[in-house]
Amino acid sequence: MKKTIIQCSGNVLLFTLMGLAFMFPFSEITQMEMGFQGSVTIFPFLLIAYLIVYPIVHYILAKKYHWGKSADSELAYSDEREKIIVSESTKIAYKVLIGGLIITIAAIGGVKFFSLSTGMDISTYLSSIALSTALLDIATISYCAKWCWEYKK
Amino acid sequence: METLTNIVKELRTQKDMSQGKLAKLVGVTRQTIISLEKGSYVPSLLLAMRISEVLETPIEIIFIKESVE
Repeated sequence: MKKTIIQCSGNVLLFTLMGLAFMFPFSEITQMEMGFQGSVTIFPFLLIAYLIVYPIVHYILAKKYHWGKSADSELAYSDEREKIIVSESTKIAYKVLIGGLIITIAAIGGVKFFSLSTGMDISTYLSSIALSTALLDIATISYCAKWCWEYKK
Repeated sequence: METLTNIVKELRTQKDMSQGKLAKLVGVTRQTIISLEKGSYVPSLLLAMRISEVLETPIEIIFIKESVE
C-alpha cells in the first residue's frame, strides 16, 4: 500500500507542477519586433528539479522497501488478489477520467461562450490547463483511494 | 446470495504455520491470506487447489459454499 500511495502522491505532485509550469511560465512578457522577452517564474524550474529528483527518490525508496516486479510485494503481479485490486482501481480511474473529460470539454466550451457573451477576457488556455490538471489529479487520487480501499478489505 | 466460507485459519493453526509461510508456499501475499481467512476474498480455483495441497486437506473440506439471506 505504501508503494501505491507514494507513487500516486508523486504523480499528483508532478501533474500539479506541470499544470502550474504551463499556466504560469512567465511573470511578464514583452512583445518585441522579433519574438518576445519574459521573466521565467519559479514553476518551470520546480518542474525540472522535480523531474530530476523524483526518479532518484523513487530508486532509493525501491531499494529501501525492496520494490520489484519479482518480489512478493505490492503491484508485483504475482498475487491474484492484487491483480483484481489493480483492475478495480484502473476501472474507477478510467471512469473518472472519461467522465471528467466530457465535463472538461463542456466547461471549456462554456468558458469560451461566457467570455464571448459577457465580453470578459477569460483565457481558454488557462482554464483548459487548470481543468486538465485537476482532472488528472482527481483520477490519480481516485485510483489510489480505490486501491487502498480494496487492499484493506 | 451464495458465499464461500473456509477453515483455512483452523487448518493453518493446526499445522503451526504462519500466514506468511502459507502465503509464500501458495505464491500470494500475506495480505491475501488475511483477506481469505476473513472471508472477504474468494480465491481462484488454482489458489484453492494450492492451499488444499499445502494444508493436505481436500478442497471441499476447506471451502464450503453457503447461502446467505
